[in-house]
Amino acid sequence: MISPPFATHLHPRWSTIQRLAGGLCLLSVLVFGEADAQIVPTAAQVTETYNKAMSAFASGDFAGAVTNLEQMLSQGAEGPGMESVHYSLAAAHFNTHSHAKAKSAFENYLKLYPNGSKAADALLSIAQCQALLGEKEKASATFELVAQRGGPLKEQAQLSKAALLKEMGKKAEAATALQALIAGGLKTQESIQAAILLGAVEAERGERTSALKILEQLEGRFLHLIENPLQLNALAFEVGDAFLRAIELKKALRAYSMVRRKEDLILLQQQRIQNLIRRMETNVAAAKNDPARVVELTNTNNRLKLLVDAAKQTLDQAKDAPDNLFALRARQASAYQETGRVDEAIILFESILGSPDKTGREDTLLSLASLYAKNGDSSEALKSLKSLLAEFPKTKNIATALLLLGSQHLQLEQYEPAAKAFTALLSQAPKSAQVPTARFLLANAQFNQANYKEAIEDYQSYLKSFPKGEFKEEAEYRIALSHFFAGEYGPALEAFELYIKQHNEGLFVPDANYRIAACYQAARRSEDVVKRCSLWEAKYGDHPVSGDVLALHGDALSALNRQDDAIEVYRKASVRGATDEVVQYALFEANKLLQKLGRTEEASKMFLEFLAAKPEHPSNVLAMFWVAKGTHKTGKTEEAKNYLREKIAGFIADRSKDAVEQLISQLAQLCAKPPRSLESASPGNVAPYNPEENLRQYLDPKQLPTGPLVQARVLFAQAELARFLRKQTAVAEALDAICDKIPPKSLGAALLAQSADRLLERKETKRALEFYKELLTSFPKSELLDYAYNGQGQIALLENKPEDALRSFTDAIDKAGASTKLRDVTLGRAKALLLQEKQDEAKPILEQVASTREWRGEATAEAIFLLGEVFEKNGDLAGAIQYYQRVFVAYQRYERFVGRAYLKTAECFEKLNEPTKAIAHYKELATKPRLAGLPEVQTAKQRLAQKEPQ
Amino acid sequence: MRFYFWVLTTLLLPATLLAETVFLKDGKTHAARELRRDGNFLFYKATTPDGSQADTITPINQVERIEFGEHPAMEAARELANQGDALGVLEKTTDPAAFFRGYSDVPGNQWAEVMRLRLPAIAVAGTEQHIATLQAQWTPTGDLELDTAYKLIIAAKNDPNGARTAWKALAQPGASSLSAGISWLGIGNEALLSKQWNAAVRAFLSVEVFVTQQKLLQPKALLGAAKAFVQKGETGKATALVEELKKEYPPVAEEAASILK
Repeated sequence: MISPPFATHLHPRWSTIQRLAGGLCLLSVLVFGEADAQIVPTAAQVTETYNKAMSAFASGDFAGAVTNLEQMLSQGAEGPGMESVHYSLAAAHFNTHSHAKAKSAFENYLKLYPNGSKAADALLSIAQCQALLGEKEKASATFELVAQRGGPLKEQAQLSKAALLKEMGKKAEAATALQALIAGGLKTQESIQAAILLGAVEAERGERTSALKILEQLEGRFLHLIENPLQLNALAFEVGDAFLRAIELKKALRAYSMVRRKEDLILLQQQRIQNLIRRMETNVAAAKNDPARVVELTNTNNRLKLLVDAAKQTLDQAKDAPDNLFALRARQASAYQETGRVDEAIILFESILGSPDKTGREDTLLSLASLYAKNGDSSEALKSLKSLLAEFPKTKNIATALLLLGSQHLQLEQYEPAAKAFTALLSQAPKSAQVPTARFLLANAQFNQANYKEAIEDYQSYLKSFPKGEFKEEAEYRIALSHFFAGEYGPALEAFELYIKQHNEGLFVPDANYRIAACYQAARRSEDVVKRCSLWEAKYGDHPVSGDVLALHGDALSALNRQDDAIEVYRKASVRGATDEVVQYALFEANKLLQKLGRTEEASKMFLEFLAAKPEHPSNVLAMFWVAKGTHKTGKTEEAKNYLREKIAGFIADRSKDAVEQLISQLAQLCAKPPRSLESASPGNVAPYNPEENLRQYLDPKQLPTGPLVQARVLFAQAELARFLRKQTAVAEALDAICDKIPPKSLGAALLAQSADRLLERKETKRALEFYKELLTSFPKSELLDYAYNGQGQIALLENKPEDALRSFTDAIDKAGASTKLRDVTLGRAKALLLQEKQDEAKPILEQVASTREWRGEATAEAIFLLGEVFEKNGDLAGAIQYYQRVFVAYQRYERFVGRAYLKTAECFEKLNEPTKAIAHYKELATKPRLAGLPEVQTAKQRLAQKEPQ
Repeated sequence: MRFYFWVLTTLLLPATLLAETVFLKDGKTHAARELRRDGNFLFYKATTPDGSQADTITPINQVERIEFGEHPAMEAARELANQGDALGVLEKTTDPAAFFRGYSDVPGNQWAEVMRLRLPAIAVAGTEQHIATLQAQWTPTGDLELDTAYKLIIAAKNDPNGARTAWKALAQPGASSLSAGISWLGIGNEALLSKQWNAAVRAFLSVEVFVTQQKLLQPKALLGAAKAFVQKGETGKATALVEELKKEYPPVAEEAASILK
């Protein structure tokens, strides 16, 4: 409803009198009628009463004004000046909110002065009183009367009527009335007010587009004319919401873009007040210069003053109003989200977090987490969720938050915290709607941690609680898979067969059939496997797991010694494989068989075909290696070298090609040997073969791109050549040059691994760690990660941190497969356990190292020596001596253990009270020339001196 | 004392075709046509009380304000701005800029209104010549947002490091000013050059979501974000932006489509 016109209404004539006419009053036009015969007030008394009334009116004491004006009427004053008294009385009643009395007084005024100067104002006021008294139909008709009279109040009456119609629910009529008001353009306060009102009516009527057009009209140029920008904000929200509900998102965003922030509203209103005051000041100046315009300009200023007061009131409202930041951003984000524009929604919500206003922070954090998750950014989602749960531990959305937390941990393969989150959900919100999903995902978390027993229990618990749950089929299938991965092939077979029986058309049926075949393979029933795989291939063709099935088929054929068939099937698998691992496995299994059968050329051809078919496959460099090897084996060494030169040049500057070092090593190996033509030539006929020069021909730095990585790879080539030529100093020099000259961030995975190991050898543990970390960070999928985990473990051992060492060694096996470093990692684990005084746990590991034929060497010597220590610590000195003696008898090459073994043997004999044998061992150690440089020799000599004084 | 007088001779000076209302400090108003300024005087044809036109000269210091009519080019410029057509805006606002620059000390002038369109247009499509002209004719608008935007445009040309510092300070989450928009575009462009795709996406989309009123900045921002998405391998997101550009900003439709090729 539009505000009444004189809520703070000053009687214009009074203002004129008081402010400008300087003491003139209406008494000259007032005469007295038939007053009380006994007490006839004097003119002076009437004047005084009138002045009191007007003064009260001017100061806002409308009740006082009423008292004095009624007193004047009771005094029987008459004459044309009384028109003002009657009008003022009605206005004063209005301002005291005595609308019934006001209405009556205005009606009385109209009756007395039907053509009075304020007749139109009085009629408008009657309409307003009627509206306020609930006589809406009458009020509407009265507003219409005023409008029909025309004049300056016409627009105001039309506007008030339209507002009333809206209030009465007559929205279509209100819209028609308002449209008429703005038809001439937005030029007056009333037309602008009408536009705002029309916008609201149109929004309510569902005429969103029309409402938006109105908003757009009001935006910008008319903003300074709007009395209450808060209304405009409310309208923009209303229109935006209407579009949002109707999923007209672009328009919703357009409407929301017109919502002004609290600080903008305050600024806008302050500017508006300043402009109004400036206009008043200009009017005062103009009135001083032109006395004839005093009345007109004073009236104008009175109207302006009312506007200033209203604007100040609005300013206070704006200051007191809560910030609309969250309300606005959440709506905008919602609109973007609906259109799949997640990035925009994230930016909007993030802007709320940066604001000092904490309204909506709880919802914002959850929304952000959900959006990050949707955008695939699980790390950021976790950050938001952790903030949410830390700041609002009892958040109303605890179940959603914990479910999201767990699922994001799952995404990041962080299964333990995922399980923790789901468990927390089940205990904190056991009745929430998220429980079924949480229970299923908890089982998945156990499954992914290889806790298959717990996973089976959790899946069964899910099936029991939710027998018709959303994940029923998958849970049943995963139970079978859990048995399968736990190596329980019997129960797995049963479970897969049951699954197929229950879900004949199920999503996992092809996979289940493949697993069943694999169960038969585990039972070494290769004939069955071949049969089942053939059936599977016929039924499912190029299903995503067809590569796996073909690889299994190949394994079964190979086990049946049907090598030609196996090669063919493996080759098919290498083409069909859905994952790099399957492709690589099949390819190299085929190659293994081809090499075994001596079909080298065929292998080369297979790799060339593979390279042509999968030019971006990560196994490409390995394939090139085999192509070159095959070419060399067929006697075409120069061709092989040229092939390698070409391939190396293509990859040498690419850090991500971490297998290029293998090609470089191969080239170095080929360059190390002179060509057969030179080998057979008689010396003196030709210049001696220079391998370094030959390598330079194929790996000429001048013809390669520049940069630290290329420089490092050329140095690596030189190191490899030196290694083949058994020039150990040159090997060390080249590797040291890489470590010292090339920053780790420039190196590829292979060089990082080798450089780090070299630094560890040089006992530069801090730098070694830097290289290992770079390997882990920049090449998280490299096959060489076991170098990093093993290196970190070895450094932890050197720093006497057995727990850290064990963790790293476990990572080397679990996360990196420890394909290259298994020996070091296994021995490292034993050493870490020994540091923790866990001899019983260390012993079987050391026995494993000592007995593994492939690891025979220094590691064996060390393992046997450590086994001696285990026996010694357990008090079995005779047993310990046996191990120590094995070291210096069978592993003399590994002097650092030989010296220690002699010393330990002698010490054990001393403890056994067999001094002669002890002295004999001290002497043997002290006199062997080969061991003279060992520190243990000095110890032996000192002990001998004590026992056999000169 | 009267501060204006009627002149009965016709002045042979070039004039504008705009209809303006001149408000004098003494409270008088003149409906003026063919308004022009020469030094400290205004020259115009005023409508006399009898309805005829009289050539009038008024000292500028006696003018309280002028309510200028809409310059014919401004409406077209506004429409072009809504379509994100920066070159069109630059062309259309050349004359209004020159005209209102002459009245920038007179209250009621539309210098700020013209600059509100011209500055973002220069920021996204301005040539060396446009910037040089802007620098030559520049006078502060009194609007902090516009005056800061002007300084950013000039700094980007003369003091790139200073501009970068200013961009960082102005490009705050939620900021909706023109200068914030220009800053995000600057940051986004530099991120594109240095192949920091995430930073580029964030900067460009900040223009989209916060600086919604600046339609002239929007196409540049959306194009930048689409390029960054392509580089990130998020073609779906790039396609959505390209489709929006084609629909909402026809002048850049071709450039937008080429991003996906």
